[in-house]
Amino acid sequence: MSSTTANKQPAVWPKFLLPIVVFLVVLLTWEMLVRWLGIHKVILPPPSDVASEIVRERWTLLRGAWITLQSAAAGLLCSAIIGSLIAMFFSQSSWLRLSFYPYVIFLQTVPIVAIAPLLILWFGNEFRTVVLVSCIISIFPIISNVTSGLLSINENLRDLFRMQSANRWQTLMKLRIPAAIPQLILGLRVSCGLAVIGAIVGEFFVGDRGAYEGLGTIITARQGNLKTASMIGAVIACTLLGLVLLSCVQLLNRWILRRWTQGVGFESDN
Amino acid sequence: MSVSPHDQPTPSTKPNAAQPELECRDVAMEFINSRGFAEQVLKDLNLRVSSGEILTLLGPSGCGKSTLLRILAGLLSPTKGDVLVQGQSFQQGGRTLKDRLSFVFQEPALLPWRTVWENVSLPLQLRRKQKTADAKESIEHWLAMVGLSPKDWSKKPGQLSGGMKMRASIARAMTTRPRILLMDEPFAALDDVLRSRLNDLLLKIVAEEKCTVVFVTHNITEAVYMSDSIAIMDQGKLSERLEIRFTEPRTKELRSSPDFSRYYATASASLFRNVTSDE
Repeated sequence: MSSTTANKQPAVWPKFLLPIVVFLVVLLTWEMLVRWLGIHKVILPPPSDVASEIVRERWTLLRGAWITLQSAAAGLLCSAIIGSLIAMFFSQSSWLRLSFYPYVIFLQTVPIVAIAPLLILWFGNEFRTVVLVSCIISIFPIISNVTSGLLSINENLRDLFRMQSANRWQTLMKLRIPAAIPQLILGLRVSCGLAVIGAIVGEFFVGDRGAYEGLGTIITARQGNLKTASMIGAVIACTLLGLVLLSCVQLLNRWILRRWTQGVGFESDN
Repeated sequence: MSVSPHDQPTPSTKPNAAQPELECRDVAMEFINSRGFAEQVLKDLNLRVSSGEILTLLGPSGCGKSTLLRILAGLLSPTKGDVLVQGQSFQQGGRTLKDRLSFVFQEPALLPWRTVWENVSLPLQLRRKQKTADAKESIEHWLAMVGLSPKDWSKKPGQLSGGMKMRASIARAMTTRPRILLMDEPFAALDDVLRSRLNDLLLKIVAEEKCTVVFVTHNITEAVYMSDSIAIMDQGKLSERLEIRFTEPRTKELRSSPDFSRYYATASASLFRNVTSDE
């Protein structure tokens, strides 16, 4: 292709091809280094071994990914609902915010790894515990985003409702909540990655003691059996899972925001 | 043409002059600024607006026009003094009194997630009257009156031009059939052609509905064209009031008439004479 043509219309192929080339180069280097340096397969298996393990364990991995996805999605859904309710509670009075907000920040700063064993003790090696861990870890962005969305209402819109003597409930339902929807979606985008992390961390602690078998459980089990290639396969599945959940939220984001304002950005005069 | 100092308001020549539609008595307003000091925005201000009158508050930015308008709307409580709507204060009249007022903001202030129709129906919905038989008729009447065609009614504000948004905003203000319309620089962001079209639309609405209008602007042409009287404001005070009495009807031709030029010159001179603040 001549440079003139390239200037006229920027080619799309480098966007896809270049990352693939980088990926292949990394895989090749990894494979060759492992072989040349004679690294033991328990420490670092070559990518070819990882690939064959993924193929061999595909159904276990898929089942695990499906279970982890359910936990993460349930955790995300719980944080969206509970987080939005807490934000609505906060939006009603500055006194409520001043009294309770420090505890929300506390929830954000408490290391989930430290409280997970306690949660296991209280709620058992169950699906619900994993959902709870996922919810706790992903709730903060929802609370903070939705609270700010509910409170940062255009002054004229607030006055419009006051002029009509709208009560607190009408203002919440017809103004504050609809205005906070874009912020909720923004919060969901941040939280969905955290929800996956939460689900996997929860699964580490649940381990393979219960009937539960998510990706986190698979990783802990393979670690015990020194099956490193299989562990790496599970890690790749975790990453893909995060991407799947993020893509779902992105689609939801586009769909809702388009419906909200019919594809046009928020009010800008002229 | 009559030019009179405002300190002693001139009695209006319109009917119901005895009982002004809207009245400010010694209204003062103080805000606490960011450094913790009290800042006086309005100083012992007296104002009478007669029924059916279009009064324009004209003055530089920061002179207290918008604060006064928000006090008249009951959105702010003055530090001192009283606002009377048809002889009653907001404390006495409560919600019924507020229902007689409508406010048009500087920006159209439409809810971006609602269609034009839903936006215009909002005040009736908040008053729980949107399901009454004549509500639909009233909403459609006002949408058509402001010049929005039925194909625009289902559009969202993001799909409308600035002028159309402002038309929807005016329709929304009128659905409740207000007796008093308060407007805070509603056409400031529009170009001259659109502004003069909307000025004419507003005059038409006011003539039909016979409502009283308090209009804030810093555009002298608009003030002269629209008003029965102009109150010049500076540094929280009403410094002068000009009564405008055109002999010919308010049409496009009026703007190029000698009468209009005279009023424009008087208003302009009065503004520059009275405005002492720099910014």
